[in-house]
Amino acid sequence: MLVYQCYLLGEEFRLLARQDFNADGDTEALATARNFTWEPMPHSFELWEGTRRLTGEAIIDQAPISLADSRNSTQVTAIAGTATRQAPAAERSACPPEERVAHTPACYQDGIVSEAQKLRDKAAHAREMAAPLTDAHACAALQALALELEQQALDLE
Amino acid sequence: MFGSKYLRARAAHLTAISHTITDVASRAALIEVADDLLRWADELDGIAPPKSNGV
Repeated sequence: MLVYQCYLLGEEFRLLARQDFNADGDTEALATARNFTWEPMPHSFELWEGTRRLTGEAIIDQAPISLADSRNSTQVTAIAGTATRQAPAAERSACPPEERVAHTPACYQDGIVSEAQKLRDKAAHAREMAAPLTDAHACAALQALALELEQQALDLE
Repeated sequence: MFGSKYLRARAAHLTAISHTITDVASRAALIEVADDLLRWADELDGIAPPKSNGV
């Protein structure tokens, strides 16, 4: 039995609510999340198992997704179904983030830091912040964020 | 896709996790990173001046 966290996001992806629940696996967790009734209807949602995200990346890639026009669960099911086919950023990465960083120019020619470089800087910052932490969940969350930011940087280029 | 909404989503997630953590240093680290992402999102949305440094 695993513990899953479902985060409901409103406009501008602001957090509306969190619902924790137990499930035997991703399929059951997704089915459980689909059956939640939320008031007000969320803009989108993310489903996590610890620091592993099941649905969020795909939802963000497709954003903005509004559920306000769909008062039944059909669209939620469609979103979640699509999302589960997306591999996590870390899995889609062809090589370790440390290697990808080495091949990226730090700045544009005019000296303005590129968004990709800023993403990498944020990733490095997140790793630095994670290193001394004693709470494993917080540490893992920051490391997962760092990986994701590096993947975003890679996607920008 | 990268953008202010993406950054706000990630910040929201970190903030949510911080609410479940009792260790003060860990909470502070999560909130600091989340605030940093939100500040960048505000810059991208034009509601905060850009910083000269990326971090």
